[in-house]
Amino acid sequence: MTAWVHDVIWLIPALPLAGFLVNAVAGRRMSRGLSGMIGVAGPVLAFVVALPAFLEAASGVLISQTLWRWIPAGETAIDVGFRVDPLASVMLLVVTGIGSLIHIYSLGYMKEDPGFSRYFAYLNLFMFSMLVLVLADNLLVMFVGWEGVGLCSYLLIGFWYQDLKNADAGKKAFVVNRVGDFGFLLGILFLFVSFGTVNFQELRSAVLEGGGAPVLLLAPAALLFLGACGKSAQIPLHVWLPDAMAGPTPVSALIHAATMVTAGVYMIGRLDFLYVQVPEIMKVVAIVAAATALLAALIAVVQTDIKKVLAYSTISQLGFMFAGMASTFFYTGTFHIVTHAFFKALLFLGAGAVIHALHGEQDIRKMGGLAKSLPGVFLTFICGAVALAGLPGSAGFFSKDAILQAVYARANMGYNAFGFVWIALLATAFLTAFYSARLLVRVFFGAAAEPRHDLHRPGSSMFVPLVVLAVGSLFAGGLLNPWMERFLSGGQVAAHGTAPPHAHALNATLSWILSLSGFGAAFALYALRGDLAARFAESDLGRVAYRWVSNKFYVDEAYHWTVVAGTKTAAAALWLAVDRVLIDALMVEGAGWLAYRAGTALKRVHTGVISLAAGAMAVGSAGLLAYVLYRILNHG
Amino acid sequence: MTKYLLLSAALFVIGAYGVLGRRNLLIVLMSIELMLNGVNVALVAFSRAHQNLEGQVFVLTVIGVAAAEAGVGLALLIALFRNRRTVDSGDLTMLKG
Amino acid sequence: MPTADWSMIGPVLAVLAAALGMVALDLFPRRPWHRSAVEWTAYLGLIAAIALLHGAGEPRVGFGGALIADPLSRFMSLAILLATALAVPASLPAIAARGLLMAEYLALLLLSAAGMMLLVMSHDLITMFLSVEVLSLALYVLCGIARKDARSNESAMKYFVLGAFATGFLLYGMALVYGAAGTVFLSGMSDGIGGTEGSVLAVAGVSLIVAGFAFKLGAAPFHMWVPDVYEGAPTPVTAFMSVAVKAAGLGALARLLVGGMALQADAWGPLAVFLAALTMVVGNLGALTQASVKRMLAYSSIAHSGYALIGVASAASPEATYAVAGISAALFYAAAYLVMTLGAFVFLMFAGRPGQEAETYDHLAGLARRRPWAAALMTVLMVSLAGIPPTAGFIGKFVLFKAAVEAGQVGLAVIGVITSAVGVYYYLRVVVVMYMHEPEEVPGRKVEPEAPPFDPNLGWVVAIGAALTLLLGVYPTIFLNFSRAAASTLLP
Repeated sequence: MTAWVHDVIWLIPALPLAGFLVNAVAGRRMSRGLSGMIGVAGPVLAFVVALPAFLEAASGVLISQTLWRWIPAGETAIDVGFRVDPLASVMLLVVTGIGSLIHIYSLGYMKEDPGFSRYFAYLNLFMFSMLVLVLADNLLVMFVGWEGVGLCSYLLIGFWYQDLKNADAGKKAFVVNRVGDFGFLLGILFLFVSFGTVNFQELRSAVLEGGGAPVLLLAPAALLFLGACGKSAQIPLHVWLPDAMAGPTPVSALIHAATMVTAGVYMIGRLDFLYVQVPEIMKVVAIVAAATALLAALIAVVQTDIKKVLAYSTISQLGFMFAGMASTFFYTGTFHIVTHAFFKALLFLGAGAVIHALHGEQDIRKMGGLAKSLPGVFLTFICGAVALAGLPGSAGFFSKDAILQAVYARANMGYNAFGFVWIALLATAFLTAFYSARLLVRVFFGAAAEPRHDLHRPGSSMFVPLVVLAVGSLFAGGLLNPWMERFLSGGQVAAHGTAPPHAHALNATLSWILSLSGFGAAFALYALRGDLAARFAESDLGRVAYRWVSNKFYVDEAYHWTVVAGTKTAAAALWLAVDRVLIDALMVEGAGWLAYRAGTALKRVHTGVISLAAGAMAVGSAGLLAYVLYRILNHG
Repeated sequence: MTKYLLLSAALFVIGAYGVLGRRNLLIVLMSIELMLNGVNVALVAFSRAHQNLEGQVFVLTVIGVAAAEAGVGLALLIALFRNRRTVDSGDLTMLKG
Repeated sequence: MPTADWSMIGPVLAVLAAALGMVALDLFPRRPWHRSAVEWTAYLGLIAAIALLHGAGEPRVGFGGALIADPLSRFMSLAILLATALAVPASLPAIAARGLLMAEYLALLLLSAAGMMLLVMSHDLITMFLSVEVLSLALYVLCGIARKDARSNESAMKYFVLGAFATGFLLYGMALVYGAAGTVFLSGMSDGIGGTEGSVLAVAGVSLIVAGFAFKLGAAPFHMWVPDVYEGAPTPVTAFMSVAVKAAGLGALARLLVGGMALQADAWGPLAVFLAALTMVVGNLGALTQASVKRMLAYSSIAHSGYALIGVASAASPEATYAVAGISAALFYAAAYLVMTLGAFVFLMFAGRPGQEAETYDHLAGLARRRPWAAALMTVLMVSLAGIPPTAGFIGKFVLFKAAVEAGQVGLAVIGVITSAVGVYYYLRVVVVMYMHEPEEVPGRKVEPEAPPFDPNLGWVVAIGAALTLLLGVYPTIFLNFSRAAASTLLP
C-alpha cells in the first residue's frame, strides 16, 4: 500500500524546492494569498509523502534511492542518494510536520510584512536543505544540506535587512558556523581517505567489521563533533544562537529550536557506528554537553528578553540531547529531539504571539498579566512550559528521564566521568523547571507592568498550530516512550551493557522531585509572594498584620538577597565573563580581529611601487633557489 | 664552461639589480634586456657543451622575442608619458593597497 | 611536414585566422555592418576552433616534437576558448563606452588566446617560452588599451615591467634545465637530468621555472602585481586574463613538472607546498580588507591560485594514482574557477551602467531590490567562490583537499579549509551589501532609484557563468572524468 513511496523519496525535498523557485521567480507578481499558499504547500505536501515513508520504515523496510552519480573520483564514487531508515523517518516527520505548522503560523505572523513572498521563498529553501540533510545517504550529500541550512539561517536572520544589527547577527551566525563546518569537512575528508567511501551503509560495515584502527577514527570523530558543536550551539561555539534571535520569531522556532540546531545531534546518531568505537571522544562529548546544559540553564535564569530565555534554554536542551547520544543509548537523544521540537516550537510560537500582541515588545519585565487578555496563548504556553520543565506526565518528562537513565547507566559501566555529567544534568533539570516557571509567571501572571490597549490577537492561522503543538507537548512523550527505544534501536548500534535495575526508579523519582521543586520554587518567588502581599494590603487584616507582613517581607528580602541574588549574580557574572567576554569577544571576535589586522598589515605592504613588487619576486626566487640548493647539497 | 656560466650569471644579476634599483623606466627596460642577454650567453655555452643546436635555436628565439618585448614596452612607455608626463616608476602609485 | 601535424593545431589556426581577418576587415572603409562583421568573425573563429578540438584520443606529438595534442591540451584549450567566447560579448560595451578600436581589441584578445592554446600544447622549452611571450605581449597591450586612461597606463606598465622581469627568471631556469638535461624536449628531459642527485643545475633551473610560472599564476610572493594590474585594466580584460592565463599557466606547469620532470619531484614538490600555503593565506587576508570589489576579486584570484597549487603539490607524490588525483583536481579547479570568476568580474560591469562600473561595495548596496536577477546570479557566484555546496567551487575544493590528504599533504588541506572559512566573510559581504543594505549616496555618483539601463550581453555572460557554476556543482561527473583523463595521460 505504501510501496509506491520508494520511487518518490526525492519528492520530499523537491516539493519545498519547487515552492522556493516559484516564490523566488514570480513571488513579487503574485497576490499574497497565492504566494503564501504556494509557500505552505511545499512542506505540507512533503509531509504527505513523508508519512508513508515513515510507515514503511516502521514496518522494517529500508528505503533508498540513488538519483545520480555525483563525483566519479576514480575508483570511489559518490552518488546523490537518499535513504530512509527508522532514525531518518522520525526526523523526517519532525521536520516536515513541525515545519508545516510553522509555515501555517507564518501566514498570520508575517501578514503585513512587505517581504512576504521572499520570506516564504527563504523558508522553503531552508526546508529543502534540511530535508536533504536528513535524507542524505552519504556524508557529502549531508554536507550540502548542512551548508544549505546555514546559508538559509543566515538569510533569514538578516531578513529584516533595514536593521543593520540584524544583518551583522546573521553574519556572526554564519562565521561561527564556518568554524564548525571546517571540522565537518575535514572529518569527511579523513573518513573518505581512510575508508574510501562516505556512504553511511558502507562506512558502517567498514567500521564495524574492524576496518580501521580506533586511532584512525579518533580524528574524524573529533572533527565531526566540532562540526556538530557549531551547528548545534555547544560550548564554545554557542555564541551565535542568542544573536540569531534577531530574526523573525517563526524562524527562531523552525530553525533555531526545532530543526536545524538539532542537526548536530542527528549527525551523531547517524554515525553511531563511528562514535561507539571511540569512548574517549564520547567522554568529551558528554562533558561538553553537560557543561553547555548547565551553563546555558544558569544564563537562562537571568535573561530578560523572552526570546533570549528561550534561546539559552534551547542551547541547554541541546546539551541534554548530546549527553543522551554520548551515553551510547542513541535513541534517547533522538527521543528528546522529537519532544523538544514540539514544546520548544510551541514556546517560540507562543512567544511570537505575545510579541505580536504587544507590537514587538520582548522584555519580560514589561509583560505580566497577559493570562486574561490572551487566554488561548496562555493555555497553550502552559503546556509548553510544563513540558520544558519536565513536569511528570508531559512529553519533556519522558525524554529527559530517558537521558538521565542512560547517562546513569553509562556511569555505572565504569565510565566515571559520566557520574559528574549525571549530576550536572540533574542540576540542569532543576534550573530548567525554575526558569520555565519564571517565564510563565513573568509573562502571564500578576499585574500588567504597563497599561496596554489595542492588543494584536492571533488569528486562526496562528492559533491552530499552537493547539496542535500543545497537544504534542503534553502527550507525545507518553505515547512514544514505550515504542521509541524498540523502533530506533532496530536500526542503530546497540549500546554496550544495560542499565542497573534500580536506575529507572531512582531517576524517575529524582525527575519528579527536581522538576516539581524547581517549578514550585519559581512560582513561590515570582507569583505567590506578590499575590500574598497584595491580598494582605487590601484586606482588613492587612493593617493589623502589617508588622507581620513586613517582617515576612524582610525575611523574603533577606532570602532574596542572599540566596537568590547570589545565584543570580553568579549566573550573570558567568554569562558576562565566560559567554560574552571570553568566548564571544575573545575567541570569536578576537579571531576575526586578528585576521582583519593581518589583512590591514598586508595592505600596508602593497604600496603599488614597482621595485617593491620586483624585490619581492627576486627575494622569492632567491628563496626558492636557496631552498632547493640547500636540500640537494645536504642530501648529496 | 664555468667561466661562461659565471659571466651569464653576472650579466643576469646586474640586469636584475637595474630593475630593482633604478626608477627610470627606460633604464629598467634596458636592464631587462641585459637579463635576457645574460641568459643567452648561458644557452650558447650549454649548446656548445652538449654539442647540439637546440640552445642556439633558443637564443635566436629569445632575441626575436626581446625585440618584440622592447617594442611593446616602449609603446606603453610613450602612452604613459603622454598621460602622466613621467617615466619614473616611483610615480606609478595610483593603484595600491 | 605531414598534414596530421597541421590538424593538431587546427583550433589555434582558426583563432589566428579570425584575428587576422578582423584586422583585415579594419582596412576596408567603414560601413554600418562593420562592427557586427568584426564581432561575428570572432565568434566564427571561436566556434570553428571548438569544433576542431577533437574529443579524447591518443596523445599525438607533432612538429618535430615541439607540440603535443592530448586530453590535457584539449581540456585546457576548451577552457581557454570558453573564456574567450565569454570575454568577447563582455568586452563590447566597454569598447563602445571607452571609444576603443574594436578590431584591434578583439584581435589582441584572440592572439592572446592563441598563445595560451599553444602554451598548453608545447612540448619543448622553446615553444613554451615563445607561447608564454605571445600571450603575455598581447595582454600587456590589452591592459593598456585604454590609452587615455591613466589607470590603464599604469596597470599595463606595471604588468609589463614585472612580467618581463619574471620572464627573465623563467628563461634562466629553462636555460639551466637545458644545460642539465642536454635537451629542450620534455620527453626524455627527466631521464636526461637523471634524478635530483648530482644535478645542482637542474634543481636550480626547476626552482627558477617554478618562480616564473608562479608569477603568471599570481602566487605569493610573486603576486604583488595582481591587485594593481587587475584593478587598473579595463574590466573585460581583467575578467579574461584572470581566468585564461591561470588555466594556461597551470596546464603548462603541470605538463612541465609532472610530465617532464617527474623524477625531480622531490625538488619541486616542497616548493609547490610552500607557494600554495603562502598564497592561500596572503590572498585571503588581502581580500579581507578591500573596499573595492574589483580589488577584492583580484586578491581572491590570488587565493584561488593557491588552492590550485595544492593539486600541483599533491602531484609530487611518488604514488601515480595520487599524482593523477592531484593534477586532475587542479585542472577541474581551474575550470570551476574560470566560470565563477569570469562571471563575477563581468557582473561588476553588469551591475553598473555603461561607462560607470560598480566598483566599491557601496555601489552594490541595495542592488537586490533594483535588479533582483543580477543580485541572485552574483549570489550564486559568490557562494561558489566561498566554496559552499552545491556549486562548482565546493566540488573543486573537495576533490583538491581530498587529493591533498591522500598524498599526505594534510597540512595543506587544513590551511585550505581554514582560509576558505576566512574567504566566506568577504564573499558573503557582497551578498549582505546587495540584499541587506540601503543604497547610500556615494560622492561623485548619483544613485538612481530606477533600474539603470544595462547591456543584455553582459547579463547573458553572467547568467552563463552562474549556470555553469551550478552545473559543475550538481553534475560534475563528465568534467571530472575529462580532467582525470587529462591528468592520467600526462604521467610518463
